[in-house]
Amino acid sequence: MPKLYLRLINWGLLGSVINTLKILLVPLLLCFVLFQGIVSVYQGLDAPNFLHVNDSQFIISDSLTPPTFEADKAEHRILPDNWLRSMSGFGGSGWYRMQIPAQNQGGHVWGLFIPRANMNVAVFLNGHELGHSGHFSEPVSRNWARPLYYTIPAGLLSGKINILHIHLKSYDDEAGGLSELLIGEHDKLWPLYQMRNFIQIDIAKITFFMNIFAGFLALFLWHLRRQDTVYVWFSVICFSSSLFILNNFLLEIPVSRNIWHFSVYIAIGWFACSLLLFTLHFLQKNNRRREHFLLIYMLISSIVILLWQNIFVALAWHIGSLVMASYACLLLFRSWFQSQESTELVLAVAMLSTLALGFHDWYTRLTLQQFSSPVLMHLGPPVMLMAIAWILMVRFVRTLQENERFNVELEHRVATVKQALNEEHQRVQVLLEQEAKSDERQRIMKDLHDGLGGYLMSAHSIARIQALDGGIQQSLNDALFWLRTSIDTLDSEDDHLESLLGTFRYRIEPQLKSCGIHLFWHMDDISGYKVSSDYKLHVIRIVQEAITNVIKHANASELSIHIQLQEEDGMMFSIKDNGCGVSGDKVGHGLNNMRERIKDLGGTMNILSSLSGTCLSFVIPVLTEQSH
Amino acid sequence: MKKKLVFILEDEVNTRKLLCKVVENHPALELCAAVGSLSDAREALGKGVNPDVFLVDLGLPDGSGITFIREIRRSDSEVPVMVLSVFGDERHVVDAIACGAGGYIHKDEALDEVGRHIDEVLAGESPITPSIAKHILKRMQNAPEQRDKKQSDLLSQRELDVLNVLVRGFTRQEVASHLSISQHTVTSHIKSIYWKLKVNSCAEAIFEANQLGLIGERN
Repeated sequence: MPKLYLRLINWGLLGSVINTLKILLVPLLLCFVLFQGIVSVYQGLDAPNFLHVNDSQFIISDSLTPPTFEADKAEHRILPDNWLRSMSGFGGSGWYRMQIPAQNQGGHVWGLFIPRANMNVAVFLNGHELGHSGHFSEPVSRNWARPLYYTIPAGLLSGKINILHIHLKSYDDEAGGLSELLIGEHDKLWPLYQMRNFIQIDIAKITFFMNIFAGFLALFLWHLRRQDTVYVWFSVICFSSSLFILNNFLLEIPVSRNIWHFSVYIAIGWFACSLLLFTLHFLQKNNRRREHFLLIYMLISSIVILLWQNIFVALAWHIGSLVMASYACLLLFRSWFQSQESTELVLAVAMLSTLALGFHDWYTRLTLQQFSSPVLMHLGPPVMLMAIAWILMVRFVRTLQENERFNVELEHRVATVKQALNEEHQRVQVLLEQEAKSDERQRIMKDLHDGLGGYLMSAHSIARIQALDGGIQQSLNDALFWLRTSIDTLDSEDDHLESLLGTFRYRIEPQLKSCGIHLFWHMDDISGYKVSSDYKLHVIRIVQEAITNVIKHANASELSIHIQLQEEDGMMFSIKDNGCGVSGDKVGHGLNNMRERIKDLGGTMNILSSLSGTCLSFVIPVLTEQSH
Repeated sequence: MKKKLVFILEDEVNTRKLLCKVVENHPALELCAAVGSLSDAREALGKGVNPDVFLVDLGLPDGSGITFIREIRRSDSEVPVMVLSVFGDERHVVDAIACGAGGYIHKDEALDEVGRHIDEVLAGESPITPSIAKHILKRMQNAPEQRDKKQSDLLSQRELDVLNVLVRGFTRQEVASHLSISQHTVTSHIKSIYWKLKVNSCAEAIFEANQLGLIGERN
């Protein structure tokens, strides 16, 4: 079991790594191409078909034209010459003098390629000025990581020893110095310079403008969505990296050298700090107190560096920056390990490469190898930029999809609620209507009962007391009976037929008895059926009419009433007597009335009549309580 | 045999006269008082009349007949009370039964039917009509706080069966054959139903009084 468990874990991890690799494929390919380019450039620098110049004499001099190299003042220097190594703490102007063996240009234009010189140079060959990279007056033109190239016109290199003079000016804390020089045919050397220039200057320029644009875009996004502080830190990443990238290619600085120099340091620190804060916000692990602490530390440190302008303070600052960036990196990797969220891995890898590039530059500076290594830190921000842009895009797409899904769900919910409301509304309408009808029925019922009923009762009593003419008494009986059934059917509290029919039987029986008719009664259990008042009244009047016909015309001694349930929700009434049968002219009007009522109820009627009696039957539909 | 004394409380003059006539013409009955209002009835009772049966109308000029029935029952009298009803007021009749009335007479019934009903009640029977049965069923099923009631106070399945068949208009005799029981059993079921209606009405009255805060909590 443990083995299987382990295997499952490994497979899961492998699967996610494969997925992530797929996502990382494009940036990885880009990095590979870039790396190959840098490697080829540096392999090119070692090419044997160029003249490598690395042996020189050096004197300190402010002269703007090649000075005389007195043997006792001149020092022997091997290129690359790093001032921090050869004359630590020196800042100022000096001259290099190099001897170039006899060359035959063969009528071709040649070139002189200086991969790196810090800060500003002027180049003279055989006393002829080949060119200069800027001016020497303060602030000195800035050639911080800029490769330099000068063409050597055809015929300038002589068949004897040639003398090359290079005037160099730099600052004590700026790592002044000169790299190895390459001389060769212009057509072959120029591409080498171009490649180096592309990496150090062109990419920096492109990155600079990209970052500025991205920074403003992020600020605009933040302006639209204030709650997303992550955009603020993204824009700080962009702007701070822009400043130190600008240092790669800006020739004439707008402020004093010192302010510029330390501002670049500060920018690197802010870059690292904003990476950390961005990460914390991105992982939603931000802690307001920690953020405030970091910001206060950054602000105070920045002011101290700018005012003190001390290289050791700057060194401490760099270490702090490295720690912050490393911590951000660590957080991302740890979070990815826990969540297996691909965006976190992408960001972690991008940050790690930025960190590695920054560390490379810092390390070459510390080990005084900057004149034989390229400056790479400016390649970090574009990697970060791409990673963050990709993540924001992924997030945007996810949000969009989530929104769409939510909208669909919302529409669905609204539709459901709307339907429910409609149904409720209709139900309430029906109830209100029923209530109104019921109220009206109750009113009519009460009115009939209290008024007409009372007077009729009274008249009925008087008639009986005075034992008046039987005809009058019978009419009053009929009127009371009619009124009673009306009121019974109007009773809205009882919407069942059975008690109404039961009561009807109870009331009709004494009357039948007095006429010498015996009643047989049967009714199925119809308590599961609900009916309306109209329905009740129709049924009662039909049965009443049928019985009246029997009493008046049939001359019967027996009457049977059967009420039975039929299949498919029908109810059958059969009213059968043993009388003399019916002939059309006697009961025509009553029968027509019954027929009309049965038709209104959607039922059918049937009469079988013979000399031995009549059977009237009708079937009417009813609905069960459940389906009502 | 000694004639049974009848006490009539009816405000409508003609009906009262008619009822008096019925009693006078009946061989086993004798009128002991016929009054038209609650106060007259109380006065008559105060004079020491001792009837064997009361005929009480519900709608009286100075109150409800139900009040009078309550007063009779409160004096621990077991004398049967019959409600004089008109059509359409079955609910009030059921109220009266719940207060202790043992039967009722429809005012428009044939005169000999009226006499027969009085005989029935005096013989210890409890008359019932389909609409009364329906109202009792409804009341017992919709009564509030059914669960508060004791099992013995609820209608038994047999009693419900009896009511259900009565509702369909069957006579007592037909109910008996329908349910394969004796007529006597049907009668005792109906008596039991009336008794439970009375008991439950008391419980309901207490429940409603509780709801209104008229009396203290029971526990």
